[in-house]
Amino acid sequence: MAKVIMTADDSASVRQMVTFTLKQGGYDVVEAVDGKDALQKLANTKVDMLITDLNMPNLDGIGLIKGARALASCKFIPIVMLTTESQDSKKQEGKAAGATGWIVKPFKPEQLMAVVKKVLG
Amino acid sequence: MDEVKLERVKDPQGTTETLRVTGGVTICEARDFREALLATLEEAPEVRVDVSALTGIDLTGLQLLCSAHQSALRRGKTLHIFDGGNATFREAANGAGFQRHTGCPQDRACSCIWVGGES
Amino acid sequence: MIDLHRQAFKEEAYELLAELESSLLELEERPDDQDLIGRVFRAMHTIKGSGSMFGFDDIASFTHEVETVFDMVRNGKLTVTSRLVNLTLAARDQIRAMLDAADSGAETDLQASAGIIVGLRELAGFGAGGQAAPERREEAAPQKKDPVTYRIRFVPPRDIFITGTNPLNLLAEMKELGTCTVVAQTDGFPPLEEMDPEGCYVYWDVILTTDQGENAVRDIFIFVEDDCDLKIEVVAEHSRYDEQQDYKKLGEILLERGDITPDEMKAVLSRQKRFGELAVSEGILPEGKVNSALAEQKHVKEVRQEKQVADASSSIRVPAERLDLLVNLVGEMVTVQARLSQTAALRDDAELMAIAEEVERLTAELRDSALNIRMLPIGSTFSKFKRLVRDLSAELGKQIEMTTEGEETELDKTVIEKLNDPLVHLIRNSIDHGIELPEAREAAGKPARGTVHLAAVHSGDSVLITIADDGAGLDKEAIRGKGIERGIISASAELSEKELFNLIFAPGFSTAKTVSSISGRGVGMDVVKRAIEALRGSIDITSVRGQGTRITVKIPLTLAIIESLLVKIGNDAFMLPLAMVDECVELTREDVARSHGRNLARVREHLVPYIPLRRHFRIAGAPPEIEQIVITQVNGMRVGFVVDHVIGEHQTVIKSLGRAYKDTEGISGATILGDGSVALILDVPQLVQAAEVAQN
Repeated sequence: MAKVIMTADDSASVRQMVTFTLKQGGYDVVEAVDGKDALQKLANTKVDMLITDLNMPNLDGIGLIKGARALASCKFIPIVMLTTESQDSKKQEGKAAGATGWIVKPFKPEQLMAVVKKVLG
Repeated sequence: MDEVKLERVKDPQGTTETLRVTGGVTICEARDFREALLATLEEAPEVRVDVSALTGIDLTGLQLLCSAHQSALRRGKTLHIFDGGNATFREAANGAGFQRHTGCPQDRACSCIWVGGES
Repeated sequence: MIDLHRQAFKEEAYELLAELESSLLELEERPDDQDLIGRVFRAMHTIKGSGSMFGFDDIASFTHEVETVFDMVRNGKLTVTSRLVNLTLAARDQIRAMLDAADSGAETDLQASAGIIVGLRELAGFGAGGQAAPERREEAAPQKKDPVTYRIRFVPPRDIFITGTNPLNLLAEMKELGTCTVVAQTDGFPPLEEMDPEGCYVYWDVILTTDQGENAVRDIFIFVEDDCDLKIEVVAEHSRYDEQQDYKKLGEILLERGDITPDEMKAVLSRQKRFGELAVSEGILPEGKVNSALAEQKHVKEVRQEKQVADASSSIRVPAERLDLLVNLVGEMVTVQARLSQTAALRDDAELMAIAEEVERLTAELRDSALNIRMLPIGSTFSKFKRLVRDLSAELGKQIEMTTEGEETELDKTVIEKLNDPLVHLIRNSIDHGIELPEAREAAGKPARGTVHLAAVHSGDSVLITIADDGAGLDKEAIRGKGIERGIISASAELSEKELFNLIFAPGFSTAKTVSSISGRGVGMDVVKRAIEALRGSIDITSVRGQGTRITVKIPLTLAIIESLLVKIGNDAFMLPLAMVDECVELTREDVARSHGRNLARVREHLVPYIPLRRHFRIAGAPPEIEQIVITQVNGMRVGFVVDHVIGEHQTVIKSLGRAYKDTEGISGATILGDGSVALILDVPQLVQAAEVAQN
């Protein structure tokens, strides 16, 4: 059974790229357009990993990470945040909220896959 | 991973109690696993943990087994692991660096539960 | 695929820009609306982030400027003014133009971009130099390094699981980097009832051997390094020259790790028992610590062993003395083998002869391989000189071409190394003193481009290296004058051409009129001569004025075992290098009589001069009725050597003659025969030369 990864991003092009890359890597993907959408979907879907953007409308990435960690099903799953280099302090904030790691934008598909493999094993 | 099942079976003489673990033991089941181990340790002087039908175990599971063994020794009881050659279990233990005789301050009798590095 | 994503980004960006326009217009109405400010910021942020993802670098860096300003607005450091809105609207139009231009190959107006950026930076209160767009980090290509063994102690935080990190994945990643020994440490475990089932209590000692470098190891821990206790130490470096196999003693490892104090160690060591057992039984150390150190010891030993196996299949460095010993032993064996063959032949024992033949064959192979180990082609040295010639001729304004020949000629490695400096000096001399400037050459009717020819060739038991130039040649009068001036010769001395040329090897001799940077500075040709003589070689010089100079360096293969022809004169045995021998013919008393005292033999209608060795070496006794002429080829000339008997081919280990015989003419060395007697090796070229001199 393929593992399920959720990508939460308000940028359609990034979502498309992430989804495409993960599917190529043999994963199933659930897309969410912002933090709120993601939390709603997480309540009903069991995922093995979450990849989230930090800057999103409605509920931002930090809020999503905190919300996800409060769900029993997401307590121990790897959560990776997408950051830009200007947001170094956000990395710490994200880690404190429960993020496992981060990917710095811009990234290439190979870099994404490397991080997924790193945290998901 | 398959759902975990923890069964406790008493042998007819009543000296040994077996905890049979099937399925996969992960952090999500860690609490249950610890309770089962504790309860089994309470019951009998000899505890046998049967992991031969285990389909997966993570670090928390390995830690609990090791701690249970240490606790058994402290209480003057014995705890054996029966893996029946279960490759999944052995690989998990080996991969995490759990090897016989290593790291156990309690184990003076060389009864360490872990498979030897040499085998 | 990239195109698909680029297309998606463009569509998304157009949507965002449309939304941005209305947001900006609304913002002008309500400049304090945080929600609107946030929306503008996010739009810019997304265009920047996603743009950079899909290769729209110009858009990303331009948008970064706008984003920076709106980040300040968002944080209350800047207020929204109509100037800001105007500039941002202009920026929005500019981004749109850039999007239109992308993929169509059209140019965007860079001037306009620059104008907007300057305006925004002014508003933000920093100069034109302001905050630069994020720079792309250059990814350094990973370099292949020698493997290094690291000792890694990784103590994860208790709560590592609730950040979604599985330490086992990190261990697995380390295993991918190289050879890895993982030892879990469980000495911090609480009793089961106190153990938090979701906490992490275990920590690890990892011994990892990898050629990926320490950064690759650190990168594994990138997400956790701030939270965990991580110690990475180098415990062994495995260079190509790693010859050790033993590793640190157990106590040393534990001491290094800080698991034991020096005092504790001393206390344990004072008892004559195995260290690890003692340390545990004394209660100084938990067994896990000792076992972990033992694992490190085992790991490094194994890595070193593996490495040695791997090295052996490619190449291996061996101290030269060991090779010398091997070659010497093989030499002894060749001698013994010769005795065996001789004895077998005498006994006329078919079985023994079969064995002797087998030993002979094997010995020959062993000899060849043993000698081969030390031999290197001289070509690599020659190619170094090409560079030297190129650089020097440029410096001197001369046009010089270097040609080489016989690069494949093999010489003992140490000989090649020691030849380097003398050869460099000789070549420099040819370039500096020999080859003329282009104008001078042309005036002399020679091509402007001069030639230095470097050649190596095997000649019997020697290698001849010649450095020949087509330059001006040696000026005999100048040499003579300088010799007198320096007091090396007297004004009245009568010198042959050869003696005159040899003057240039006298200490402190230099004929160049000006001292250039190339030669004539301190080191003279006398140093070259001494270096060659130290290799038991010789140096010879010939020169024709106006045509060039040829210097021949002759280096004997002192270690070599050569194929030679064994001959006898009376009871004395001699050897001639087989490579020089053409054929053997008989010489009867009648033949001698017929040649009327001239030492000439008629061989198939050709007259061949010969040297009667019995007379040459003043060996007493009468020659047999029928003598043998061994005809050799020296410098293209056939010369015969008259001996009593030709015994046959022989493998000869050359033993150099002692100092007392060093200057003996006509003899280059000696060898020990199978029966233990000594045979002298004839220096054929020298004998021929001596005969020529005697004749003239």
